[in-house]
Amino acid sequence: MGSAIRFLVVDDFSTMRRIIKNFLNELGYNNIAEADDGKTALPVLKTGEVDFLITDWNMPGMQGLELLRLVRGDPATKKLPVLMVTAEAKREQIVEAAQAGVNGYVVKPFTAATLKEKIDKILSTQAAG
Amino acid sequence: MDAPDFRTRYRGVMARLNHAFAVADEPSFETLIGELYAERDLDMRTGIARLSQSLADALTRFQLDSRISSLAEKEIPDARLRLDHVLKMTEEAVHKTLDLIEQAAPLAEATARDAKVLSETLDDRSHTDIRRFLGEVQTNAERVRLNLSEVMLAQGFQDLTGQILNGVRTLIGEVEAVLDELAKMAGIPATVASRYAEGTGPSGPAVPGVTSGAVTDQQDVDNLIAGLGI
Repeated sequence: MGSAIRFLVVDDFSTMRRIIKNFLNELGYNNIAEADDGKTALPVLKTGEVDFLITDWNMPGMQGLELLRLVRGDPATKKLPVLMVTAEAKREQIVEAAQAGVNGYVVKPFTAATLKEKIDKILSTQAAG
Repeated sequence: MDAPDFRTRYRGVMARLNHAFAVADEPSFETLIGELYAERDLDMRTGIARLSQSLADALTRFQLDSRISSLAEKEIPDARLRLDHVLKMTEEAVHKTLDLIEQAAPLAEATARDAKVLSETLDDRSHTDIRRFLGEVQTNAERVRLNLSEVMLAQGFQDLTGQILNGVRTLIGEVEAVLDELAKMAGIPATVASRYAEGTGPSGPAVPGVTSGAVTDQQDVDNLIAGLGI
């Protein structure tokens, strides 16, 4: 059932996209799209074929926070689970992301256990909701 | 000095000068002329003092221009700290990679050795040993897989160090732009455009000793998030 979930991984670093993608594969998720910033992520989101968004914050073009706000502002995607995986570690930034409607926040560098825990938690909350 | 001020200023002394002249009071006349000279001298000295103060102020402003002073006092030393941090992070990541490889390699080695020994001594009574061995193979292979997964995640340092290096590159660009501005002021032809606007967005990975107000670990993030009702 888990493998049916369609992920979109947004990060400007190809190494990080590859790491997250490989990790999702290990967890049994094989349907993963990639984008290197908010601008390139938007058209993918517009197709309606994304069930879970994992995004970095600091990216050229459109940043993760703006992407999150656009996702929340669009009726079609406003309930999309969004996990922010970022190096931004300031308290006010985490508060800002929370206020913008993020579902989970992981600070880089992260462990496999942390990433799995956050994804599982968001998915179980979604299933319950 | 405009006309009314000039007339107001000199009306008194002119009246006394005229009177001394009219009554041929030479000593008073000379004293009044002397006073006029002294006043003119004082004006000039005040003017020179004011001018030299302006010059000193301008020089101080030039030396302590906020951008230059910020670059010299904070950002350049910060850039050094950031590069030190990059070195530390890459070193830690390499050690972590080596630790995991060192844990994984003997497991693979033992698996291969046991398989060889077992294959050489295999006979009909060996079913128990084979089952034990297969169990070990499963455990060890799973351990190797988990370690390799951690090795993969450890490579995420490239993202973090890359972001920090990008920040330093931008800073160097700004230094170039400031130097370019100074060169323009000194009349040296410009070569670098001021295209490095100061960033106001995200600050990138937290650097110990540089970033303030950052969380310390994921537990800290979780507590903060939980406190916000998520």
